[in-house]
Amino acid sequence: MPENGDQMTENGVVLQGDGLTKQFRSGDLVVDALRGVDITIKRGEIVAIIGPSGSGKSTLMGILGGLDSLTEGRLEVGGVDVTSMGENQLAEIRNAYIGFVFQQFNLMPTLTAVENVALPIQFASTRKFNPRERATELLTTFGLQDRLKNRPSQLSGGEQQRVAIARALANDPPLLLCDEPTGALDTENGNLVLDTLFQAQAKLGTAVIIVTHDPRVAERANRTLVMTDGRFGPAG
Amino acid sequence: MERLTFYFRNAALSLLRARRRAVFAVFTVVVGVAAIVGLQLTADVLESSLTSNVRTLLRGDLAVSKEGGETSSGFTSEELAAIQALEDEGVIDGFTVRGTPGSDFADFAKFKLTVVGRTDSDAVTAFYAPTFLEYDVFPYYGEVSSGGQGLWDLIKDEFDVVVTSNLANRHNIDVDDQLKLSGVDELFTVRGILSSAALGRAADPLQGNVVFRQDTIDRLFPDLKDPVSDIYILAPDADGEQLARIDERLEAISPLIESTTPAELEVSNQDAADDLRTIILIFGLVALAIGGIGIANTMQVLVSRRLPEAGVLKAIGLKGRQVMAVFLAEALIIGVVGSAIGVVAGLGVSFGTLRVMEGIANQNLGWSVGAGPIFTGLIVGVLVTLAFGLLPTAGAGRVRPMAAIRPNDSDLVKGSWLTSTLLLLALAAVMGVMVGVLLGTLQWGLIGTLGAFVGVGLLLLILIGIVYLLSRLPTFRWLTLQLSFLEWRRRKARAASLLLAMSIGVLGIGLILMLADTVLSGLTNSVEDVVGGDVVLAVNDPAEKEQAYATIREADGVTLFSPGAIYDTRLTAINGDPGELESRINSAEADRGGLDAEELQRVEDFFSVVNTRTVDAALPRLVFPSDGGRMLDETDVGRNTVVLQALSEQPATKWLALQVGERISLQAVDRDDRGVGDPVEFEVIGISSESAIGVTVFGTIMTANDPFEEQGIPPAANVAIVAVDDAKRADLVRDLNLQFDSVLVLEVAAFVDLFAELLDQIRIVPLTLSGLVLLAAVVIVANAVALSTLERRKEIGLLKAVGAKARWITVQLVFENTLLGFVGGLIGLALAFGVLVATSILMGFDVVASPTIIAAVLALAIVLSATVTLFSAVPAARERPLDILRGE
Repeated sequence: MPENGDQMTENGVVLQGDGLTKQFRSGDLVVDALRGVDITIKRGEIVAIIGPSGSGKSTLMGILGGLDSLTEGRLEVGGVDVTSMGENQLAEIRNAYIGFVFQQFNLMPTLTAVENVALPIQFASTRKFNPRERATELLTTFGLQDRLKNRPSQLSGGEQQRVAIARALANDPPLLLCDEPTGALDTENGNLVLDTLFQAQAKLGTAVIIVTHDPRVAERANRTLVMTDGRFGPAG
Repeated sequence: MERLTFYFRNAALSLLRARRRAVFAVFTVVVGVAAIVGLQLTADVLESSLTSNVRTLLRGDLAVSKEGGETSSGFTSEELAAIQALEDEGVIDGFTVRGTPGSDFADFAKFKLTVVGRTDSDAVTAFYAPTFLEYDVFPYYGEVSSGGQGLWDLIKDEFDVVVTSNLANRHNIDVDDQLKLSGVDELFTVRGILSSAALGRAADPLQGNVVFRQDTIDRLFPDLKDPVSDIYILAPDADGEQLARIDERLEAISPLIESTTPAELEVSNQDAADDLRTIILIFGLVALAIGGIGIANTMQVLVSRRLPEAGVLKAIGLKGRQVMAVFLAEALIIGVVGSAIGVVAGLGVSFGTLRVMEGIANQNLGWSVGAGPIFTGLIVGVLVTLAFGLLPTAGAGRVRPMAAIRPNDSDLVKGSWLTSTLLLLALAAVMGVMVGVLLGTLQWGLIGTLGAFVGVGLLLLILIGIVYLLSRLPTFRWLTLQLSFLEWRRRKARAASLLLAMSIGVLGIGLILMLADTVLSGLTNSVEDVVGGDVVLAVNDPAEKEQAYATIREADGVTLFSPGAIYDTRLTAINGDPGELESRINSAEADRGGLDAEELQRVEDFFSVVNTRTVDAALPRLVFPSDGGRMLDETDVGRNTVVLQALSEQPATKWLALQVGERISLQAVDRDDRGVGDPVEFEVIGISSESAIGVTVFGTIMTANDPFEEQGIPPAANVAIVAVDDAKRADLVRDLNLQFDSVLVLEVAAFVDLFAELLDQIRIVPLTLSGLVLLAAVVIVANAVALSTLERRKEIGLLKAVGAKARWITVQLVFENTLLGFVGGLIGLALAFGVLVATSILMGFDVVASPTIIAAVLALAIVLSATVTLFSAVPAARERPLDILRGE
C-alpha cells in the first residue's frame, strides 16, 4: 500500500476502475447494479456523475470509495489494486486517501465541529497533522472559526455540510467522493457549500467525484458522466 | 490516548442523549449487582456469626442435647447424675441447664399463663415456651440483656420473669405486668422485654419465651417429667483434644445424648454457611443474568438505531474493532455506573435482609461491610454488562460501510452465524468462569452456566413459538388487539425475552406463596380431621373438672362436648408375650440388627400416652388402608380395643410390624416412668395410614374404654374436645380460661394461626430473594418497553399524523405490554405449579392451588407491567408528530 497521497498520485491517476460490475442477489433474483463500468480519475479533476434514480450512481460511489465489494472488475486507488483487499486494509485506504461528503452530512452528533473534523486524523495509522490544529485550520478556512465548539445540532444545514467537507479533507486525501452534497440544502446554502468545495479543491488539488441531481454542480465540473442502467452513457 | 478519550467521551454523551434508555439499562445492572453484593454481604455476616465466637453460640464450652430435641423427652435423672459425676471427677468445671416442660401434654397444661387484671381474649395463653434457667449462671459465654441490663439484673427475685418481644407483642404484655401460672398462688412480675434474638439457641421463634428462675420452678413443680432439654458444660481450660475427650465421655452416657464441641459447631456451621452462600449467590446470579438480558436488549436497540453512524465511522476509516469499541464503551459506562450504584443499593439490601433474618434466626447478626463483595460486585457487574453487550456491539463492528450511503437497506450488518455462535460460546465461557469462581467450583460453574445458556435458549425458542401462536388467535376485529398481535409477531424475540423475564420473576414468588399455602392448608385439613372440634381443653385439678364440664355443657353455641383422659403408659408386651416385643425390636430393620437407641426412643414415645375417648363426632377422621382395620365405634365402648394413628416420622407400628387383630399390653407409669398397676391388654382394631403432615391430639393411641381408671390410677390429665359456634367460641374460651385456674383451653384456630405466622417468617427470606428477581424482571420489562417505543417512534409519529390521539397510543402501548406481562405471569405460575406438583409427588402431599394467590400474582404481574409501560408510553405518545418525523 502506498504511504501517502503524494506518492500515489505521481502518475496523475488517482483512481482507475476497469469493468466494474456489481450484482445484487435476492433469492433467485439477480439485479445488475453496475454493468462493467470503466472510469479513470486524474489528480485535481472534478467529475460529476448524474443519472436517474436507480441508475447505479450510489452503488458506483460505494464501490469507488471502498465501501462495497465488486462482483467483477478491478479497482486501483493511486495505483494500488484494492479489489481484493481485506476490511482493515480498506479502512486504512479510506482514512488516508478518500474523503466522503454525504447528502445528510452524517456528523457525529456528540462531537463539536472541531472534534468531528479531527476524528479521521485521530484514527489515521500514519498521522500527517495535529488533529486539533488541522481541524481548526480547515474550519477557519471555511469561515466557521466562530463555530468550532458547536455541536451539529447547533449548526445550520449549510454549516454542517461545510464541517463535513472539512472532515473529508482532514487527512488531505487525493480523492473526495461527494454523494448529493447539496441535496439536503436550500439554494443559498447549496451554493455556499459548492463554493467551499470548489475553493478547497482548487487550493489542495484534490480530485472530486460528485454524484448529483443538481445541474449547478454539473455545470461547474470538468467532466460529467451520465449513468443509465448501471453503465455510463453519452453526456446529455 | 486521544482515541480512548474519544471512545469514552462519545459514549458518555451518546448515553446522555438517550437518557431514559440509559437509565433503564443502568437499572438492569443495578438490580443484579445489588442482589449479588447485598446477598454476598449477607452471607458474609451470616457466616461470621455462625463460625466466630462459637462458644457464645454454644453458651458453653460444650452444649449437650437429647436426640430428637424437644419433641422427645428431656434428660433423665440418671443422665443428669452421670454428668454431675463428671463434674465431681473434675473432668468438667461445671454445667448448667435449660429447662422446659417439653412435649408432655400434662406438663404443658400446667403452664397456663394469665396476665393479671385483664379479661380480654389475649390475657391467657399456653402457646409459649416456659424457659427455666439457672439463676446468675446462664449463660457461660455471651450476654443476655435488655436495655443495657443483663438477664440476672432484671430477674432478681424468685418471682421475676422476662418475656421475649414476640410473645409480649402478641399478648400486649408490658414491663411490671403481673403474670399468674395456674395452680400457683404467687404472682410473677415481668421485669423486662428481651428482643426475640437475645436468647439465641434457647429462643422459641414461633411462640416466644418466658424466662423463669430454675430454682423457682423446681420448688413449684417438683413433678415435671424430665424438664431439662439442654445442658451447657463449663470447661474453660480444656483444649481442643480435651474437649473432644469430654465430648466422648458425654456421648457415652447414652446413645441419645448429642454433645457439640466448638470445633464441631464450627464445621457444621461452616457447611451450613457454604450451602447458604451458594443458594444466595445463585439467586443473585439469576437476577444479574436477567439484568444481562436487559443489557443485551438495550445495546441491540442502541446499535441497530445507529448502524448508519457506524457506517459513517467506517467510511472515514475506522476499522471494525474500533467501531465496536465506540459502542462497547457505552456498555462499559453502563456497567461501571450501574455496578457502582448497585454496590450502594447492595449495602442497603444486606442491611435490610439481615434485620429480617435477625427476627427469624433469633440472633443479633450486626452488619459489616467487607471489601470482597463490593469488589466482586463491581467486577461481576462490569463483566456481565460487557459480556452481554458484546454480541450486539459486535454487530456494529460488522456493519457494512455502505450503511453510510444507504442507511435504509435491510442488510446493513454482515451476517455471520459463525461469529455470533463463537461470541455466544465465549460469553457462556466468561460467565461460566465467573460463576465458577464465585461458587468456588470452576467445573460446575462452567457446566451449570453452559446448561443454563442452552436451557434459556430452548426456553426462548419455546416462548417465541408461544408468542407466534398467541398472535394468531382471533382478534374479533378489535384494532387494539390486532395491532398488539402484529407487534408481537414483528418482534417475536423481544416479546419472548419479556415473557421469559416476567415468567422467571413470577415463578419464584408464585412457587413460595403456593407452597406455603399448600403446607398451611394441608396442616389445617389435618388438624380439622384429627381434632374434630374447635377447642381442646385440659383440666389439671380434678376438683375443677365437674364444674368446668357443667359450664361447657350449659354454654351457648356448644354443639359437641367430648370428654376423655390421658394416661402416661409404656408398651410391655405384644400378644401377651414380652419376648415377642423384644424379638420384634431386634428383627426390625434386620440388616442393622434391630432398632437403634434413637428409634427405640421413638417407639417408646409412640406408646407413651393412651387417650381414652368418648365415641362421638370428635373422633379423628383417619384414613385406614385396606388391611388397616377401622376407627373406634359404639361396639368398642367398654372393650379394651385401641386404634393406632400411624405417623410417617415416627413409624413405630411399621418397625414393630404390628397388625390389626394383634394385642398390645400397655402399663400406666408414674412421673418417674415406674410402672403403676397391671399392664392392660388391648386388641388393635385399627392402624391408620401414615399422613405426611402428622398432627395428633392427646397422643397416638385411642381407646373407648378406661381400664386404668378401673385400677384406680389417676389420669395425667382430664381432657376434652369441644365444638362451638364461631360467634360464641371466643367467649367460651375466655370464660373457661378466666373462671377455672387449672383449666387450659386451646383454640385450634390459634394453633393454625401460630403456624401460619411461623410460615410467614420462614418465607420472608425466599420471598425477599424472589422479590429481587421479580424486580430485575420488572426492570427488564420497563427497559423492553422503552426500547420498543424508541423503535416505533416513526410508527407513533405516523399514527399521530393521521389523527391518532396521544391517549389512544398510550392505551395501545400499555395494552400490548400488559397483555405480555399477564401471559408471562401465567407461564410463571404454570411453571410454579409444575414444580409444586413434582414436589408433591415426591413428598406425598396434596397440592392446593388457591385462586386468591393465583389472582393476586397475576394482578401483580399486570399492575407492574402496566405501571412500567406507562413510564415510557406517556412521554412517547406525547411527542409532536412533526418532531418525530423530522428526527427519523
